[in-house]
Order: sequence, then structure tokens, then C-alpha cells
Amino acid sequence: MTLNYKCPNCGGAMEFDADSQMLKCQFCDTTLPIDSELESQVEASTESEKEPEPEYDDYHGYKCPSCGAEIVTDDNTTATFCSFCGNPTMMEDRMSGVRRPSRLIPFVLDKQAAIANFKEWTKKGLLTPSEFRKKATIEKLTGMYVPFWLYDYDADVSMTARATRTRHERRGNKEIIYTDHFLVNRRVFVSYDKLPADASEKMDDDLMDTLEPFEYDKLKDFNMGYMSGYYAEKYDYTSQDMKERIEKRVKEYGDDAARSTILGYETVMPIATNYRLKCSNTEYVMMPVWMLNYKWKGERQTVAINGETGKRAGKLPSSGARIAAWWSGITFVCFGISMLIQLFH
Amino acid sequence: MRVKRIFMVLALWIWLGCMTVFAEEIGVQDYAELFTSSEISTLEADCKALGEKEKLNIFIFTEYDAEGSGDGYLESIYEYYSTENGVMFYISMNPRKMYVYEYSYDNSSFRLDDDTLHDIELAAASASQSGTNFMAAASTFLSKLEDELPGGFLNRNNHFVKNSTIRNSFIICVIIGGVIVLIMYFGQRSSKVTDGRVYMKPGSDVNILEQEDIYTHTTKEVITHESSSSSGGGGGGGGHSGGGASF
Repeated sequence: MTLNYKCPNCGGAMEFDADSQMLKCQFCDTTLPIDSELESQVEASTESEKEPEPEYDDYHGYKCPSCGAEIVTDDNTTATFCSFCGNPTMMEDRMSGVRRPSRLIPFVLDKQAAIANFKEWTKKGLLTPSEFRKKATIEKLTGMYVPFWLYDYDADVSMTARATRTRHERRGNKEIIYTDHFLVNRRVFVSYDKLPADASEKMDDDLMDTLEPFEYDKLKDFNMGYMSGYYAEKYDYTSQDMKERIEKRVKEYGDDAARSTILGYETVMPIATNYRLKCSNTEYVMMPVWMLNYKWKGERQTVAINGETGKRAGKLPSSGARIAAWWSGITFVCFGISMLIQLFH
Repeated sequence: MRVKRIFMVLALWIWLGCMTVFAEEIGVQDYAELFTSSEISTLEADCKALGEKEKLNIFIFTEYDAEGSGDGYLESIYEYYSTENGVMFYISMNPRKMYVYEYSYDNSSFRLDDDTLHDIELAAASASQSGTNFMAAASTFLSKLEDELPGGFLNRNNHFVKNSTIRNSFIICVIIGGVIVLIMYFGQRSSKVTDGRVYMKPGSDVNILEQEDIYTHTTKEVITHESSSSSGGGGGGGGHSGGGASF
């Protein structure tokens, strides 16, 4: 079943507005709070979904509740736009039962704020080609809710390390260095809360990790209303699938925590570490991300902006001409300065 | 009275100027009488031309009986005749030696190294044909010196900046530029900075359950510092030669 939100005044499509944190009509600016009563505003299409064509197993057809056109999506899309009328449309059946997120962080940066953030970023990228700053490119910024698993972990970490401390003594023209060697054992307990791991196969893990941290105080109970006007995906990986990745991270954090308790030494070399990890809770949530896919020199790249905090992730393209210009410019400025020094030295 | 003072200062200035000019145009001091007057004229013109081109005082000094030896002796001769950085071609008949001596008033503007000076000495000695053709020796000295003197420029403080120094500076600047651009290139990529502490349960900390620090052993390393004798203060000029060549 697909659904979208219609304005009670004019019947226009309503989208989530990051500024007001409410649904807003794109035509008459009517706003509606997002709460449990919102479901009454839903216009749904319960027509039977089209069976997938055998040769396109990954694609499913839905009917747009506004214009009746067919919306073709892949298996994981949960919110999109109708290609014909442009109205935001959500696939409710893909967000039900175990696939329904418990909470989400709504977008705080709207598209204008995301564009401003992106422009500021590209301005700092001194090697970024000017074509990349063009409006047509920036307009491709897409707001998307990315599925994440949040894990609560208790880590009991035992670390054994070799450590040294040195003392210096001076006798005439001789300097004596005494190095005291120690075997250091530490066992620490740390509780981690809401460690995130993106659950979408399409999303680059490094890119999503770079967007962290999200501010969890803005987590809200899940409501389809927050997704109106944005794209969204459901998870590909279960919480169990992601455990290996998240436990690797918990171990790294545990190492740092144990290492931070070994103080007063000049060198510390861990030689053995044991971990006892316990996952106390997992939660399926959606996180807001602005994405921009671009092709530069034939290579596909993605940059992303945290839709809540504005933190950026990804690599801006570098132009060969700009690299050459900066390189020669810096070289000649340095050379000019060195020549001036030589001239007056 | 004032006019008289000004006149005296001007006269002193002109006299000092003349002294300088005189000192820098010594050309050839042929006490051993190895050259004819026409050869002296030719050599003086050549010395002057090369000297002006290279901004150096280049002159030839000959004596029959050497009154000393070594770089100290050559330095005393040079300083007697010249107040500028330069190169002297010294010939003595007793002993039969030729030296090419380079002098710098601040000890830092040498253009030639010892090996090059020695090469010129050997070439000049060889050209003299066992002391029978000193004009050939002097001409060889001048032409070889012209070949060996590195390109460059004299800076405002009369320090010679060699072309090789300029080239090395340029290479260093290219490397600096490359490193900065590389830093800029990697700056185009955002990096992960999330610390584990961000995800620690609110109000919780790292709880130390057990801790043990066991001393195992001590190692000892002795470093002997050589007592360094302080070098004397600089000041004044100095020079070097290629060690001389017999003929």
C-alpha cells in the first residue's frame, strides 16, 4: 500500500518541513503537527500491487495515490516521489512489522540549509573545480532517511602491556639513561550507548561512519509523516548481520579505554587484550542524510551531509588545473621569498 | 669655514675613491719580471675584463724569491693589494711554484673549491712548459678561471649567490609546493573523528576493575658527550688555494 499526505485545505501534497518540524503544504503553506492523529490525513492507494515482472525481480510497481501512475521502485525503497506528479509517496507495507523503525531523527537541515552547507564546504575545497559548485550540481542534493541499527554494548576489556619509564643522570661528560621496564595489567568495564551502524547495502560504510555523531536527544518515535518529501530505504542487513562490524568497533573503543588508564609511562606497548562483549539492546532507526552523487572524470563519487548536525562526509573532486595552479603559485611565492632572502642576506 | 670643511670631506672622499680604484686595478704585479710590457698590458686588460664580468678582483703576482709559504703568506699578499673578494694567480721562481688563491673578505663567499683551484694550478703549470712560457700559464689561468667560475649574482651585501644555490632553492620550493598541495588534496576528504567516549553511557566512565603494574627490570645506557672546544670568533677575511703546483 502506498500513501501520501494531502492538505486538508487545498488537497495539495504535504511534505515534512525541517524548519517547523511539521508537515507543510507545498501550495498553501498549511502546517500540520506530526502526531498519532496524522494517519487520518493519509490518502492511500490499496489497489493490488503489481506483481513483479520475472525479468525484473528487484523492482516492484506501486500506484501513486495522487495520480494513479505506476511508481517503480527497487525492493528497499520505502519513500520516494512519483515520477509523473512529483508527489511524495511512501510504501507503508515496507515499513510495517519488524521493518518499522522504532524511532528516527527528523531532518533539521532543510534543502536550502544543506545547499548553503555544501557551498561553504566547496569554498573551502581549494582544489575543487568550479563546475562542481554550479547550481545544477548542487540541486541534485537529495534528502534521504538511511536505516541504522543502534547497539548498546557492555565491554569488559583486559589488557596486558609492556611499559617503560626513563630516568637521566649526568656524571661529568657521561649521561646515564636508566629505563625501568614494567608489565602492566588493566581490566576495565565500559558501557556504550547507541553505537550506530548503517544497515543499507547501498550506503558506503566509511561515508556513513564519517557522518557521526548524531545527536540522539532529537530521536522521535517513528511516524511516516517525517518521511514525506524525502527518500527512504529499509534495511538490507539485520542487526545480527552487523554485529561483527559493530563488535570490531567496540573492541577498538575498548582498547582506547583500557589504554587511557595506563598513565605515567613514556612508552606503552599492548601485548595481549581480551574482550568480553555483551550486547544489551538493539534498535532500528532512521537517520537524516543529504546525499549528492556525482561523476568526475568517469568515476562515481558520493558526498553526504548529516541532515541533523551538518557534518560533511566524502571527498570533493580535485581539478588537475587547480592542482597545477596552486602548485606553481606556491612554488613561485616560496622561490620569490627565498630569492629576496638571498638578495639581502 | 663650512665650505672649507665640505671641500676637505669631498677631497678625502675622492682620495679614498682613488685609493680604492688603484687597489682594484692592480692587474699584474710582476716582481719576477716574467712578462714583457706588452704581455703585462694584455694580461691586465684580460684580468680587468674578467674581473668586471665576475665582480671579482683578479690579479697576477710574481716574485723571484718567495718570502713565505702557504695560504697565510698568500693571504698577506692578497690583503696588501686588494680590498675586494677575488682571485690571485701567484708565481714564484724560488721555489718554482704556482698558486691560485681565492680570497673572501667575509669567509663565506667562496666560489671555487680546493679541487677546482688545484685543477687550474695544474693546468697553468702544465701550460708554462716547465717554466719557459709564463704568458701561456697566465692565459691558461684566466681562461680556466672563467670556465670554472660558477654563474650567479652578488647580493646587496656582496655575498655571491651561486646558480646552483638558486637551482637548489627552486627544487626545495617545488617540493614545498608539492607537499602543501598534497595536504590540500587530502584535505578535500573528510575524516572520521568519532571517539569512543562519545558513545559511553551518559554519566558513566571507564571503570577500572583490576590494575597491576609489575616492575620487571632496568636497562642502562651510557652516552659520552665529547667536550667540544669552542671555536674562535670569526671576523676578517680569509682564503684558500689549491695547494700549489710545481713547474
